[in-house]
Amino acid sequence: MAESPARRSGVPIEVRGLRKRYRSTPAVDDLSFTVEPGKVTGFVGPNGAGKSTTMRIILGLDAPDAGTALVGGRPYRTLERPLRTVGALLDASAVHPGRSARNHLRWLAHSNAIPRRRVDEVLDLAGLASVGRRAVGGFSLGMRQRLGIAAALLGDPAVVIFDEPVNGLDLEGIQWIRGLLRSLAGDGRAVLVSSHLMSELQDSADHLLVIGRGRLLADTSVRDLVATASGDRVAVRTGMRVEAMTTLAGAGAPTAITDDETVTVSGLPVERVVDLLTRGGVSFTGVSAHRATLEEAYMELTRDAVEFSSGDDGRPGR
Amino acid sequence: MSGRPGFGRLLLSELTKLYSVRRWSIALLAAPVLTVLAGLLVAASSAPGSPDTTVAGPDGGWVRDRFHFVHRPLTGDGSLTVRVASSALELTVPEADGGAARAREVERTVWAKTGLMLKDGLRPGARYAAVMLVPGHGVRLQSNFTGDIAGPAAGAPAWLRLTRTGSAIAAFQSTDGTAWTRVGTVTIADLPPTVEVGPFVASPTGTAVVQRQFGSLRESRYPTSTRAVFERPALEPVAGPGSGGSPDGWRDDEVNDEATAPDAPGPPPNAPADKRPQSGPPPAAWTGDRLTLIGFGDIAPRPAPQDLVKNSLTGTYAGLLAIVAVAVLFVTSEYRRGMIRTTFAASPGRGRVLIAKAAVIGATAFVLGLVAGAVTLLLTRPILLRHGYAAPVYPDWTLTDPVVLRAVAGTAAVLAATAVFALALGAVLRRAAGAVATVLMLIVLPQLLAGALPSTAGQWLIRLTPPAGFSVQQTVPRYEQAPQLCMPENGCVYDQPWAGFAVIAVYALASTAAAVWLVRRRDA
Repeated sequence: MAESPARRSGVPIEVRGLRKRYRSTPAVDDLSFTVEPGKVTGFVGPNGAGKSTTMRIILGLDAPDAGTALVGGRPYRTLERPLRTVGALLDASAVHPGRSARNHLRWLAHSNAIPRRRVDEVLDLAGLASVGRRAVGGFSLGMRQRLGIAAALLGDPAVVIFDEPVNGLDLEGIQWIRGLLRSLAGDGRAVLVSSHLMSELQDSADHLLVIGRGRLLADTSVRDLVATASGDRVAVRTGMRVEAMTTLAGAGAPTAITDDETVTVSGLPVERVVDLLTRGGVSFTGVSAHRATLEEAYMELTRDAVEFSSGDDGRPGR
Repeated sequence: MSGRPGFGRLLLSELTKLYSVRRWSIALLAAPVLTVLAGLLVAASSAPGSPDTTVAGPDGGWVRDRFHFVHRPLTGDGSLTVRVASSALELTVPEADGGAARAREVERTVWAKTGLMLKDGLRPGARYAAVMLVPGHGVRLQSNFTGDIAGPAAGAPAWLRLTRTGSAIAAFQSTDGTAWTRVGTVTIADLPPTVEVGPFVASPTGTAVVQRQFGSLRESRYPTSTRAVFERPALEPVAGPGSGGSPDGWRDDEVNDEATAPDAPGPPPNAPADKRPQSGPPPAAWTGDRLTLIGFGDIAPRPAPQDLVKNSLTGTYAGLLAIVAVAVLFVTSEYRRGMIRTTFAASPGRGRVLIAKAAVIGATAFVLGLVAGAVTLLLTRPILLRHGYAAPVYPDWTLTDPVVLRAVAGTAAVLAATAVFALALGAVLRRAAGAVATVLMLIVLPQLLAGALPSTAGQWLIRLTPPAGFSVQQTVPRYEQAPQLCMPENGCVYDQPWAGFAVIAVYALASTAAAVWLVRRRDA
């Protein structure tokens, strides 16, 4: 694929002080972050956290109440042929059911002066070559996701934005998306992909933006996020709970009684716990290490931010 | 990276959208089919009436030709001068229709004619030129039924003169018989050496809209008569005795297209009163060189009772509905599914996108309208001819006649403007149901409501709503000198065919401007 100038110019996505309210509900509240080239940046948060709103603002579709969103250093709406700089998948069902996949891509290609052969290239890439002439109305949600991704890649963009691309995909499709995200980042593109489930992103994202109630909760690598979570815990099964607690607390580690027979200690490796208990003469029947998952770290971060049980972004009628 | 893709790219993009949804293509193709079928239906079920007369003017058009004429022959070049001392219109409107007050209103529709005539014999429909005083319209030089040149705004008493030089007829007017003003000159082709010249009086029927019970409107007609006094008619060169202004040598006739067979000679001169048509005016009365003349009738083009082209194009309404539906869906379907975001992400210039959409649907509607109109007229013409629609009452026409071209191109333009209006309304409302219902209501409701409203309100309702656009389909010519009532009941919305198009064009432009403003301002 040809090297596009935007790939070399400035920060692919730069969001600064973004605010947006819908009537009285703040959707995005003082949001600032950047998305780097050559990486997959996961954009995670519970439903209604403001992910889709942020993406729409980046794409110049919604106007922010305050703040700026720049793509390659420029506001999206000043881009001359935006599809050649940014490819986006917002909503896979946003296609007319009576139109064929090919014709859907053709009108998009015309609007940005993209050569016709790209239509067949991206259909092929998305695995839709054999159904390109069929009306989209007969497509499964997974096929529509693939069509949306094909549309996003039509202009060979340096920046790729996918909103919940895994929705509706089968296992094979999920595998395909993961590989695609990796390869897009491998080409040097900036990839911003949102999900409300951390598990969908943990294997493919290099960097994470965690958002809740419109605010940025974490802007970090996957490794650091796990580390900053409540940390590793060690559970000790013992009949001498009070003694065990005293001994471990003496080493400066937070401890807690979990149940009749278990004491949990944080921040100490298993070997050190065994060593301390042995030296203190506390008998125990078992020690088990518990490593925090990315999922737990995420749950902890967003515990206070879960606000909506349904809906995606707090905006009615999406 | 080169600049923004040209507007042509955007047009191509929107064109691809429009033609790639099968249902829309079917609906769009249904538009001309419906129009043609409805036109054929109308043509197949229509029949011409049987008109009282079929007198044709020199150019083959259907004409009225009835007036009181005191005349004598003029051979070669010469001139005729007379003083019109007075001219008085008599008109009675029954009390039931508004009486004297209404009579003054009706008077304004009457072009009573008092003046000098030069005519190729007495046959109704024969060539002529005439200079005359028309109360309310000044001095006029009229010729061959459709020609009308306005002169000074003078009334009786006044001097008039008509001069023949070969085929050129010049008219003059004077207040004192000494200083003359030229009214104009007309050329009458194929005039024989000897023509009849002399004073004449014509007094057309007055018309008024009369409101009846339950708000129904009716056009009422009131016959009038005009009594005129002429003084000192003078013919040059003097031709025979008495030409200086006496009854001798002047002959008194009523030319009447409704009473006389086209080629029969007029009543013999000085014939007994019982030989004249019963409804004729009293004979001319001379008092020395003073001539008192009472006239009925009119000298004017007669409009065809039915506008065949407009009737054939009635089906445009059906085609319009299909086009309106597609135009609305063309934009609201994008809002419904959120595809508008894909569109605006691909082309952030939202105003340009909307204008490209409008151009694509407008051009499509225009082409469909052209095809529909041309095919309809080509297919209905032979049917109408077979049904007896014949000249002179119904002049034959071809597609290339300017008025027919205007009707076809105008119909296409109305379809285009209505499609643009529907599209813009769709962009404003973002809901198909609301936009389609609004446009259809604006098209259908005025026709239904107009009858229920007081006549003036009803007329303006139709004049200011989109159906006014269909006045471009009028092909029966209208003449200032032959005023016709323009009211919804007789299918007339505007005298000027393009005036109605201007109305729908304003709808299209205003709604597009509003849509562009809103779409730029709103979140997508």
